[in-house]
Amino acid sequence: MKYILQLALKNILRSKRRTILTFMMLTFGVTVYMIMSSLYAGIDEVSFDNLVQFETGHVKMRHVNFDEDRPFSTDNLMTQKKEIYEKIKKHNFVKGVTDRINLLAEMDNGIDSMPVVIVGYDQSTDKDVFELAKFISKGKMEKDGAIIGVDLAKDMGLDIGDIANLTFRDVNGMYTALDIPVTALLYSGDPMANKMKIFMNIEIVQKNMDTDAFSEIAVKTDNMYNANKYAEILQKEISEADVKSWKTLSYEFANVVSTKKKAGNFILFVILIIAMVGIINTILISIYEKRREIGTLKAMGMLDKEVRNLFVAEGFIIGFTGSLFGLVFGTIANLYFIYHGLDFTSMMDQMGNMGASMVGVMKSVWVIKDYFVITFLATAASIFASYYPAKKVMDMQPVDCLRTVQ
Amino acid sequence: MLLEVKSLNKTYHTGIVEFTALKNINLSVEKGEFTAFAGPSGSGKTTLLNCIGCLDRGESGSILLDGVDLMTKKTVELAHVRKENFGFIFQTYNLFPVLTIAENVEMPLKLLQKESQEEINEKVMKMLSKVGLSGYENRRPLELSGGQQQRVAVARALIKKPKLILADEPTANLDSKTGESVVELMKELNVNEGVTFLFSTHDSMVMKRASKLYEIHDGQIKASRKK
Ligand SMILES: Nc1ncnc2c1ncn2[C@@H]1O[C@H](COP(=O)(O)OP(=O)(O)O)[C@@H](O)[C@H]1O
Ligand SMILES: [Mg+2]
Repeated sequence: MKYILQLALKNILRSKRRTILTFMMLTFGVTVYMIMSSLYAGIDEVSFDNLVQFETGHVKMRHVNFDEDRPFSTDNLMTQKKEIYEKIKKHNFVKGVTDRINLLAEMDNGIDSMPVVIVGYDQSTDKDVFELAKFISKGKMEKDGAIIGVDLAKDMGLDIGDIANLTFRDVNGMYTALDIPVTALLYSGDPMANKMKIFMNIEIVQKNMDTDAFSEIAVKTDNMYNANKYAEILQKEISEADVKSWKTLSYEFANVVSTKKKAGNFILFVILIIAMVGIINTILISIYEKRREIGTLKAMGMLDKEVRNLFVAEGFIIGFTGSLFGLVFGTIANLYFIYHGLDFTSMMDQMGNMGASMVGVMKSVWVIKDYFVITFLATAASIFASYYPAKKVMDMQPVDCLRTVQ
Repeated sequence: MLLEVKSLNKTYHTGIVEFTALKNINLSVEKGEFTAFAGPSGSGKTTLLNCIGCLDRGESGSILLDGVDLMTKKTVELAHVRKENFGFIFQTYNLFPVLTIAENVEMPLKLLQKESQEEINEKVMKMLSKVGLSGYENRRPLELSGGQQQRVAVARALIKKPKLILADEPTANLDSKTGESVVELMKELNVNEGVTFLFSTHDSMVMKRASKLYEIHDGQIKASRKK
């Protein structure tokens, strides 16, 4: 067996062209796989981060009878703020609590009018849970000013310093008009928010709505990955509201994320297939080219199973070392994407919106699992790819191998 | 008697077509002989050598090596028979281009796994000097001329001192002068070292060197002659 391995190694090292070709294919496949996989992991992470920081918090509470079909209905408003806050705040894992109010309104610029969503946020506590400031692309959050989605601003021809004219019904069904200066532009990864949302002080909204009710309470905990557990704990004690973790809520946004993920997986799958076909192909060619050599080996008394092992060993060595090379290249490439990142802001402007909750510079993240998965897959694929042709050769009569015309 | 072939028949089946390539072959080879199969192309020389060398199977009859019938052996057993008893020389040399001359020559010994690398190296050097290729051990086959390559093949076939060396038209790819020198080398080894050769040829110059000659026509032995 030692001799067989030596022969395999010599075959690989001394058939440079073929080896380099197979190596390139494998290395390319592995490198691209790693880059894509890390990038998708990064997108996922940032998408969820953005979702949590902008939209859901770690845990969100809404009206017990929250109506998903009419999310902005005044029927969804809650009132027992004090009681609920008390129940929340007694837990150690709670790091911040805030409430927001959402309502539907009409924005008018004298020419067009558009439906918008007003989000009233608590200017003293919102930052304990959300990171609204992170999503402001221009201007500042101000006490009496509004933060308006970039696309909405564009559509309505508004810029910082302009006045936004809004009309909506208060809780009594009376029409109310509100004129508010725009002091900041919002650029979130959520295209809907960019197109429809306008943020302002919750006090202004509540005053104009003639209520002190709110739509939701959002909680930040000590660990977002325990959110499911925390949501359960809170739900047990708080019967006044429907408690959901960001994970559960993310399914509401998940269509976008999961199609993106499916596309990503598909690309990875295709890359794998290409690399594997490449390996099979080179090994097939090598076996075809080597029929006479194989016949000679058999004539010299090499056992059929040793002949097979020779080729499987070649496949194994190429697959294993090739994937290691790929991992090195992939790691180097990923260093760039992880520490430098890809600037999606300019890309997204060109492509329109991708529908993902992404914003700004996109950074890949290390996917440690990939190192094992890739080494295993590439090696297994190479062994698999060489086994079948090798088996075929193994079953051939020596004379049939030798007869091949030159 | 080293080798005895008795009423050997071989039929090729290709699809529905059947072709009888060997008909009732009887022959014998004694130790130290330099035996040739002569005959025109298509007469069945290669088929016969392949059957004797256990590279192919005959249909009926028997092939006795030291009195043991090879026709009844299993495929794996045949591989061992080849490994331990036969050396092969091919018309197309069949050297391994990625291996050096020394690595090519040592291969049969490596497969036998009986000797240390030092012993093997020593044998390889001796063998290469016998075939006139000292100093070529680290070259690659493709850097050598056809005649030199066939000498390497002779060295490779001989290195394990097999009972029988089977050579199918060893000179057919060489010009007559080079071919003659290769046969000269084989003959020398036969005379000086007592190596038994069994080879095929359709070259009359080569036939003349044989100590025993079987003339084959249409898969049958038509005549045999002994010097
Ligand atoms: N694999 C095969 N299938 C069918 N016919 C074959 C095969 N190999 C050889 N033959 C036929 O058997 C006959 C003898 O061939 P061969 O032994 O190669 O002759 P030689 O070596 O004397 O030229 C030829 O007619 C050839 O066409
Ligand atoms: Mg022939």
